[in-house]
Amino acid sequence: MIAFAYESMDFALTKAPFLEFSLADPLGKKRTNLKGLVDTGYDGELLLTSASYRELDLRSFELPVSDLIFGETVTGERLDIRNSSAVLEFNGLDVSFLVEIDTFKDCKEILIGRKFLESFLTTLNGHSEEIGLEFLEKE
Amino acid sequence: MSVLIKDVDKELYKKFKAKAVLKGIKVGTALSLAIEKWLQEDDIITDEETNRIRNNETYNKLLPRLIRDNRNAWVVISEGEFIGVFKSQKDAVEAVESNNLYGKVNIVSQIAKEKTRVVRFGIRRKRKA
Repeated sequence: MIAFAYESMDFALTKAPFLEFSLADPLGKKRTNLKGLVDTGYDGELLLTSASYRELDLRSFELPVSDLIFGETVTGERLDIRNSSAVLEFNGLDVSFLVEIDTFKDCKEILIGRKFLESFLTTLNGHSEEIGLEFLEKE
Repeated sequence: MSVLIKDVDKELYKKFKAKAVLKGIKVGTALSLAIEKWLQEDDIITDEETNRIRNNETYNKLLPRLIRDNRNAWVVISEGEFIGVFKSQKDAVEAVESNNLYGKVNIVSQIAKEKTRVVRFGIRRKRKA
């Protein structure tokens, strides 16, 4: 199992579970270390900032744009989503994850969503302010 | 020339002016440089978006044939041009490299019918600054 301490967010009322990981384009030409907020309200795999999307040149590995794929906030606001693929790795875990990246224009947050967490037994320990991930290998 | 510009963010202007002073240039000169850079940046984004549109037009045009002949294989399209169909995602990604397409706007996608997907985001509370 790997574990990460909760962290404070700017102006947020509570500390939050963050994961630290490295992200690379599918060819492994560019890599960056990132920190993402675990957000179970987000149903995708990894939401990336538009800046990181550009930095990793993920435009070279995009999925087709579709009118049938869009983002929706809790207030019902619609966002045009751009999708690509990237390789995510955690320090201390000998597995690479090929993840589907979501981003949109001027996106400024990195979120880790429920679809990514399907591969893990995730423990949110509010008392010790720690998130634990246990990788569940597919049978 | 002299202009009067309204609704400029006060804190942003303070930082901008401070940086101009540090660099030893007039605020007007710094602003001209910033405007020039912004105009150029907009062109780059437009070129990227144009290529993205071309890729998607090509993909949608080819999709019926691709689904009929190569369902679940992987297709690569670059700047509007069909590059090829590949057995696996690994092969398709390697084709980006071997065809010198890295850094260009490409589609690397499994061939499948469009499916609806709504990406939902949650909410968080913040204190006002």
